[in-house]
Amino acid sequence: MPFSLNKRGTLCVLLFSFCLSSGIGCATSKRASNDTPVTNDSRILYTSVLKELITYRQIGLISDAEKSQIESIRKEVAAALDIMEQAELNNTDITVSKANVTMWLDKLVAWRVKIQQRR
Amino acid sequence: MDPILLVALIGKASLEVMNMVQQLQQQHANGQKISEEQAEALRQLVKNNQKTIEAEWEKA
Repeated sequence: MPFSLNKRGTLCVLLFSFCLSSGIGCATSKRASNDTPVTNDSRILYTSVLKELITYRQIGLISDAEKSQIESIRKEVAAALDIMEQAELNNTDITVSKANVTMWLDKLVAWRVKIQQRR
Repeated sequence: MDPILLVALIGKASLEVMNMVQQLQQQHANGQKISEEQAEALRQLVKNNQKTIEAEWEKA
Protein backbone atom coordinates (compact mmCIF):
# COMPACT_ATOMS: atom_id res chain seq x y z
CA MET A 1 0.00 0.00 0.00
CA PRO A 2 1.66 3.34 -0.98
CA PHE A 3 2.31 5.94 1.69
CA SER A 4 -0.65 8.24 2.12
CA LEU A 5 -1.41 11.21 4.33
CA ASN A 6 -4.54 12.07 6.17
CA LYS A 7 -5.87 15.65 6.01
CA ARG A 8 -3.94 16.79 9.10
CA GLY A 9 -0.72 15.31 7.81
CA THR A 10 -1.20 16.95 4.43
CA LEU A 11 -1.82 20.30 6.08
CA CYS A 12 1.35 19.95 8.18
CA VAL A 13 3.44 19.15 5.15
CA LEU A 14 2.00 22.07 3.22
CA LEU A 15 2.61 24.49 6.10
CA PHE A 16 6.15 23.24 6.59
CA SER A 17 6.90 23.63 2.88
CA PHE A 18 5.45 27.13 2.90
CA CYS A 19 7.61 28.08 5.90
CA LEU A 20 10.72 26.75 4.25
CA SER A 21 10.08 28.56 0.99
CA SER A 22 9.14 31.86 2.62
CA GLY A 23 11.97 31.81 5.12
CA ILE A 24 9.73 32.02 8.18
CA GLY A 25 11.69 30.88 11.22
CA CYS A 26 14.96 31.01 9.34
CA ALA A 27 17.15 33.59 11.03
CA THR A 28 19.47 33.84 8.05
CA SER A 29 16.69 35.12 5.78
CA LYS A 30 15.86 38.06 8.07
CA ARG A 31 18.85 40.12 7.05
CA ALA A 32 21.64 40.29 4.55
CA SER A 33 24.55 38.06 5.54
CA ASN A 34 26.87 41.04 5.99
CA ASP A 35 24.40 43.18 7.93
CA THR A 36 25.74 44.01 11.39
CA PRO A 37 22.99 46.05 13.05
CA VAL A 38 24.12 45.45 16.64
CA THR A 39 27.71 46.41 15.90
CA ASN A 40 26.58 49.42 13.86
CA ASP A 41 24.47 50.66 16.77
CA SER A 42 27.31 50.18 19.23
CA ARG A 43 29.81 51.96 16.96
CA ILE A 44 27.45 54.92 16.62
CA LEU A 45 27.08 55.13 20.40
CA TYR A 46 30.85 54.80 20.92
CA THR A 47 31.63 57.56 18.42
CA SER A 48 29.03 59.79 20.02
CA VAL A 49 30.69 59.43 23.43
CA LEU A 50 34.13 59.94 21.91
CA LYS A 51 33.03 63.11 20.10
CA GLU A 52 31.88 64.55 23.39
CA LEU A 53 35.19 63.65 25.04
CA ILE A 54 37.02 65.36 22.19
CA THR A 55 35.08 68.54 22.90
CA TYR A 56 35.93 68.36 26.59
CA ARG A 57 39.60 67.79 25.78
CA GLN A 58 39.60 70.75 23.40
CA ILE A 59 38.23 73.09 26.05
CA GLY A 60 40.79 71.96 28.58
CA LEU A 61 38.71 69.76 30.85
CA ILE A 62 40.78 66.59 30.29
CA SER A 63 44.42 66.48 31.38
CA ASP A 64 47.16 64.57 29.53
CA ALA A 65 47.20 61.91 32.23
CA GLU A 66 43.44 61.51 32.01
CA LYS A 67 43.55 61.37 28.23
CA SER A 68 46.01 58.51 28.55
CA GLN A 69 43.67 56.64 30.88
CA ILE A 70 40.72 57.24 28.59
CA GLU A 71 42.78 56.11 25.60
CA SER A 72 43.41 52.72 27.26
CA ILE A 73 39.68 52.23 27.64
CA ARG A 74 38.98 53.52 24.15
CA LYS A 75 41.30 50.91 22.65
CA GLU A 76 39.47 48.17 24.51
CA VAL A 77 36.12 49.42 23.21
CA ALA A 78 37.40 49.49 19.64
CA ALA A 79 38.87 46.00 19.91
CA ALA A 80 35.68 44.63 21.47
CA LEU A 81 33.62 46.17 18.67
CA ASP A 82 35.76 44.48 16.03
CA ILE A 83 35.36 41.12 17.76
CA MET A 84 31.60 41.55 17.98
CA GLU A 85 31.48 42.54 14.33
CA GLN A 86 33.21 39.31 13.33
CA ALA A 87 30.75 37.28 15.38
CA GLU A 88 27.84 39.09 13.77
CA LEU A 89 29.27 38.58 10.28
CA ASN A 90 29.82 34.89 11.01
CA ASN A 91 26.24 34.70 12.32
CA THR A 92 27.47 33.24 15.62
CA ASP A 93 26.20 34.09 19.09
CA ILE A 94 27.18 37.64 20.08
CA THR A 95 26.08 37.48 23.72
CA VAL A 96 29.57 37.33 25.19
CA SER A 97 31.14 39.83 22.80
CA LYS A 98 28.23 42.22 23.29
CA ALA A 99 28.64 42.01 27.05
CA ASN A 100 32.33 42.86 26.60
CA VAL A 101 31.53 45.87 24.41
CA THR A 102 28.97 47.03 26.98
CA MET A 103 31.45 46.68 29.83
CA TRP A 104 34.14 48.79 28.16
CA LEU A 105 31.68 51.30 26.74
CA ASP A 106 30.25 51.80 30.23
CA LYS A 107 33.74 52.72 31.46
CA LEU A 108 34.07 55.27 28.67
CA VAL A 109 30.64 56.69 29.48
CA ALA A 110 31.66 56.90 33.15
CA TRP A 111 34.57 59.12 32.13
CA ARG A 112 32.19 61.28 30.09
CA VAL A 113 29.92 61.70 33.12
CA LYS A 114 32.88 62.54 35.35
CA ILE A 115 34.16 65.21 32.96
CA GLN A 116 30.65 66.61 32.32
CA GLN A 117 30.41 67.46 36.01
CA ARG A 118 33.41 69.79 35.71
CA ARG A 119 31.62 72.11 33.30
CA MET B 1 17.95 49.48 20.08
CA ASP B 2 16.25 50.94 17.03
CA PRO B 3 18.95 52.71 15.03
CA ILE B 4 16.85 55.81 14.33
CA LEU B 5 15.94 56.19 17.98
CA LEU B 6 19.55 55.74 18.97
CA VAL B 7 20.69 58.40 16.55
CA ALA B 8 17.90 60.76 17.65
CA LEU B 9 18.81 60.30 21.30
CA ILE B 10 22.48 60.93 20.95
CA GLY B 11 22.09 63.38 18.09
CA LYS B 12 25.74 63.36 17.28
CA ALA B 13 26.15 60.90 14.44
CA SER B 14 27.27 62.34 11.16
CA LEU B 15 24.59 63.40 8.70
CA GLU B 16 25.67 60.80 6.20
CA VAL B 17 25.25 57.97 8.70
CA MET B 18 21.86 59.30 9.81
CA ASN B 19 20.58 59.57 6.25
CA MET B 20 21.61 56.04 5.42
CA VAL B 21 20.12 54.62 8.61
CA GLN B 22 16.83 56.47 7.89
CA GLN B 23 16.73 55.12 4.36
CA LEU B 24 17.28 51.56 5.53
CA GLN B 25 14.68 51.92 8.28
CA GLN B 26 12.16 53.03 5.67
CA GLN B 27 12.98 49.95 3.65
CA HIS B 28 12.46 47.73 6.66
CA ALA B 29 9.13 49.44 7.37
CA ASN B 30 8.09 48.74 3.78
CA GLY B 31 8.92 45.09 4.27
CA GLN B 32 11.98 45.22 2.03
CA LYS B 33 15.04 43.29 3.01
CA ILE B 34 18.20 45.36 2.84
CA SER B 35 20.55 44.22 0.14
CA GLU B 36 24.08 42.93 0.68
CA GLU B 37 25.37 46.09 -0.98
CA GLN B 38 23.38 48.36 1.35
CA ALA B 39 24.42 46.38 4.41
CA GLU B 40 28.07 46.59 3.38
CA ALA B 41 27.81 50.30 2.56
CA LEU B 42 26.32 51.07 5.96
CA ARG B 43 28.85 48.91 7.75
CA GLN B 44 31.75 50.67 6.02
CA LEU B 45 30.22 54.11 6.53
CA VAL B 46 29.84 53.56 10.26
CA LYS B 47 33.38 52.16 10.53
CA ASN B 48 34.89 55.03 8.52
CA ASN B 49 33.00 57.52 10.67
CA GLN B 50 34.50 55.84 13.72
CA LYS B 51 38.02 56.01 12.29
CA THR B 52 37.60 59.71 11.52
CA ILE B 53 36.52 60.49 15.06
CA GLU B 54 39.27 58.34 16.55
CA ALA B 55 41.80 60.33 14.52
CA GLU B 56 40.31 63.55 15.92
CA TRP B 57 40.66 62.18 19.45
CA GLU B 58 44.29 61.32 18.86
CA LYS B 59 45.01 64.89 17.75
CA ALA B 60 43.03 66.52 20.57
